[in-house]
Amino acid sequence: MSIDETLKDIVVRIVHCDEEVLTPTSTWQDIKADSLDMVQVLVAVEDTFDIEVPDEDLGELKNLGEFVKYIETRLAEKGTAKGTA
Amino acid sequence: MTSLELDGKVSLVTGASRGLGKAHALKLSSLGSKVAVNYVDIEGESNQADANRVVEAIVGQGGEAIAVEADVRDVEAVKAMVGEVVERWGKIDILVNNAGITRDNLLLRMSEEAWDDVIDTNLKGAYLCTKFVLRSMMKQKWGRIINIASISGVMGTAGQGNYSASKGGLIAFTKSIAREMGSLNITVNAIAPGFITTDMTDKLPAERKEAILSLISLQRFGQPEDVAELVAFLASDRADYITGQVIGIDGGI
Repeated sequence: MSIDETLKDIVVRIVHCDEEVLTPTSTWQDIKADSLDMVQVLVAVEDTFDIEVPDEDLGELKNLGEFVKYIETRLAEKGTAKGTA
Repeated sequence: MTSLELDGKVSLVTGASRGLGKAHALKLSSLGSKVAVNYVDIEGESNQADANRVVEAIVGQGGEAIAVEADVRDVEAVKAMVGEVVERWGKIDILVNNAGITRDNLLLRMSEEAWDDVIDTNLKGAYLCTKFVLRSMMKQKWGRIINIASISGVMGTAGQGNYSASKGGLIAFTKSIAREMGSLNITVNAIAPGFITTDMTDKLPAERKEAILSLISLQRFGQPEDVAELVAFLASDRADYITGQVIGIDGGI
């Protein structure tokens, strides 16, 4: 599964939105995610990709596309720039 | 074979090598929960032997337990402890924030060190343990956090400005986190024991004990098992709809 698909999977599971509405430009507001949803997504991302996402970085991730790029960058830094199972 | 109320559950009890924590660990285990018995090894004080005895008692009763060392004031130690328990049993369902110390003195004579030690152990310790355990609870959308506060945190006690502040803080923390985590089916409650017979209360001078007894309607100190019964109840499905509460168990003061 690609990073994009994995992230979508996490967001759909936690925020309970339709996968069809998720695009690279979807923002947290667009999908009606509250602060607790965001924290849960964050925790799931950290666990799934084995990376740490500091709070200050989260504020910069305005939409799903930016989040995917961020994960790719962090994984590249770790030398494992592939998606997860 | 009859199934027990907490079968399949995993509990982490901090400060469980003796006193109240030991009673909580034994009680939760008697109801079927696996139990991680936290203890601390700090300068001049090792509780490992006591923690191992608690584990042996649980295993002797047919339960499952491990001793886990961590100073609850230390973020890395707490992270490692939670990781060890999750690695071993896959999750943590029940957290009992029990670890606590006293460094009593009248405020004018209370050192900054005594203030910091008590606040760090009793309040920061609960914050750190809760923070790292919540990850596991959030994923399963079920969790029980039980904070052992104190009547001192409700009423205040002369000579315990630091301890009372830490327990009052723990009560406010309980109410806040209960609001944060309610939608994830994680309950957070506090217990405010009165005077319970433990090593901590054994240190009180005889006259002070007499004075306290005169205030207690039931005219006796409580036993750790009295508090453990309430912990077990709050950990169970019977307490599904109770969160953000502070429940006194003090014999009527």
